[in-house]
Amino acid sequence: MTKREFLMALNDALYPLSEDERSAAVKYYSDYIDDAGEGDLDKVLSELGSPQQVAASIKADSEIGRSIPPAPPAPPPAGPGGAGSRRQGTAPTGPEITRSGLPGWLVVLLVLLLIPVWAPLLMAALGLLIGIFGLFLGIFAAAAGLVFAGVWVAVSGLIALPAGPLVGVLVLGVGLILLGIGLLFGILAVFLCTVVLPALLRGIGWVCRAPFRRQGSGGAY
Amino acid sequence: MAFAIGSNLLDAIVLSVVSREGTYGYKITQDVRTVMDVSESTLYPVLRRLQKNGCLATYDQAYDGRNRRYYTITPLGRQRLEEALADWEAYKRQIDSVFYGGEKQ
Repeated sequence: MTKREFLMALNDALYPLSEDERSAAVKYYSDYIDDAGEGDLDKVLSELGSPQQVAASIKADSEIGRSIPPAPPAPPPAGPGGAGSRRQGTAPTGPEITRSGLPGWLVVLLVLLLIPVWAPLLMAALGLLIGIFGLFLGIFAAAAGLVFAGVWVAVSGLIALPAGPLVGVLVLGVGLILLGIGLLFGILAVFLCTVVLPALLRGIGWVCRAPFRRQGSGGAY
Repeated sequence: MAFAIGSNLLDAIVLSVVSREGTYGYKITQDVRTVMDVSESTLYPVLRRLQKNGCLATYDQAYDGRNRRYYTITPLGRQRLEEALADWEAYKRQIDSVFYGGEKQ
């Protein structure tokens, strides 16, 4: 293959792209081949890969280039015609791309049409959350109540001790048991508030940010 | 190299290579390939993207009887590079602190 044939094949393979894009790429590879050396054209061309492979790496990248400025909201997961596999094997460190091929207006339309589906789901999730917070509150109240009652009963037992030692000790014991259970609930409540609640909030934040995460400029760590 | 290279890092390396001197595609590719294993066709999309983002600019200059396209860094590109260098420094310190047990390198 000559340089000219390579460049023409590259230009053809880039076809869906604009004239500007194609001529910039052809100019780059024309320079590249000239600079890579006069003698061994075959070696240079084989290192570059086929014009189709080169074109595929350019096309894959020009898609993310286009998708950054408009930033469509909440892209749905890639459909059956998703463009996830458009990258060729020649570029081991190329930018990561997983982008569905849906235009922005279609996404908005889908979101609107699917209100009957996601609105109840959202409500259910909200209800579940309120329920969980209610549960936390209940555990707190139970802990406080048990500790309070335990202390109260134990003190009553102590007061009753001189009058009737047997009953006094029994009441004191029951009071201490209540106190113990209350403290256990207290530990549970503290654990929920310091460990489970922050994790839960982080999880909610993560879910809410999920639709916007993909637009970071191809960041792949 | 044993570690995966993200596109952010590759962008920063290209900006850094171009920031030293006005340079051209083949030379950029060679310079980047001295430090990491990227294929010959990896860099054009990166250069094109950086150019579209306004981080790089191009000009044509006669060389050896033809016009060669040169790349040069823009003020925005320089700013991006500074940010990347700061990020890299922080990242490197963190990794070092894990590798070498917190001793300052």
